[in-house]
Parts: sequence; C-alpha cells; structure tokens
Amino acid sequence: MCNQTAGLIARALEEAGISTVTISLLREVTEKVKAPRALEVPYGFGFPLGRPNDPTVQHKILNALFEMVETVETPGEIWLFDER
Amino acid sequence: MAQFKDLKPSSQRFIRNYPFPELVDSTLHRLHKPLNKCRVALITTAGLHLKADKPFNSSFLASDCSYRALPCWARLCDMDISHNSGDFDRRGIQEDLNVVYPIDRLVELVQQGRLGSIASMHYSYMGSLPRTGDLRKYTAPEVAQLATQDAVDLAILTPV
Repeated sequence: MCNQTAGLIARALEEAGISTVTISLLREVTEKVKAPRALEVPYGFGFPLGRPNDPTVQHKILNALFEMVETVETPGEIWLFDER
Repeated sequence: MAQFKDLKPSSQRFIRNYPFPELVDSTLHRLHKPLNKCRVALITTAGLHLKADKPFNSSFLASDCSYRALPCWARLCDMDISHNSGDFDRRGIQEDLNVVYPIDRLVELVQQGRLGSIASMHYSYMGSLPRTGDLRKYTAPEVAQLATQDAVDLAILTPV
C-alpha cells in the first residue's frame, strides 16, 4: 500500500503548488491513485532506487525523475525506467 | 521487477478487494524555474524516523497516518525503521540508505550545480495504510504546508 500512500501525498503537494515525481514499485496501485507523475522502476519491494551501493544507477533514476518533472504535461503519466 | 504476483497471496487478495478512492486527475504543478534553482525534498513511506522520535504504530490495522520530519543532516545511524510489512525487504536500506532515501545523491547534485538546494526538512510516513482518510484530509496537506514554508519547489516520493 506504500504506492498508494506515496501517490496520495504527491497529490496533496501538487495542490499546494509543489511539483512532485513519485517512484512506483507497483504500477497497478499508482494508476489507481492517479499519482501526478510516476516513474516505474524494475526493482523489488524495498528497492525504489535499485541495488545498494550503486550510485551510478541511483543518479540515473534521479535524472529520469528530473526529466519527467521538466517535460510531463499530462497528469497521471507513468514512465518506465530502463537502467541501460 | 516488483509485480503484483510478487506480493504475498494475502496482500494480493487485499489489494484486489481494496476500495481505492475514486479520484479525479491530480493537479499538475509545472516547475517555474530551472532545476539548478530548485529546492528539493524527499518524502518516503518507509517508516523512517529519528531514534529520538516516537516510532510509528506498525500495526497494519492501526493505519498510522502520521509523519516524522527528517532533518537534512540525518543519516541511517540517526534513524530507526518502523515499517515492518512482510512485503518490504529491508536488506537494501540497511546496507545503503540511498536505496530508499537518496539524500547523499542529492548532496552530490547540489555540489555539482545540478540542483539549487536541499530542503532543511524531509518527511517519512508509514506506507502500509489501509485507511487513508486522515492522510488525505490532514497529514499530507500538513506536510505540503511545511514544505511550502521551507520554500520547496520539488518533492521526490519513494515508496517501499
């Protein structure tokens, strides 16, 4: 249910005028709560930024999140992260 | 990749039958300045809290919608983790906080000039919430107000 909670918090922040981007570990739930912008990542529960001690991939994920914030114009959009 | 089928059967049944709120499309607030001028906050649902703070109620049925502030200086040695869902594999975060809460990466990005600054306070919730009324009505808007007072432009949300 973490993905629901994150999406609902993001919605409240956007309503207050703060831009958000949410990592999604379970697309089905992120879609249900209509998170404002979400990046689906290919990792297991507990690993939203991938493997431990892998700053290269962590930075790639953050860059993808920033790209979403700078370009997405439609609420509810979900991108799929590919670390290659 | 985490998929619905990876959840425990009990969790799958719960989500399949869960009465998700009927929501309209969210507001979408566009950034009005470049990233290198933006102040960024992290919000996680991993149940992190300072060791000195009150733990979350980790009972699923309690549906603890409260939040804890995490000062920007706090690292794993300063924190405990209340979230104890069986679907949350804690091994990653125990080895590297940045797997869930990428504070060191944000510090690097500010040092590189990619981001403007890091919020003075970040926030954590307990993600396993079967009832979200208090979250939607009170505690999410409260954190939005606190982040606004901290001049946050962008928040990154990380579930577990």
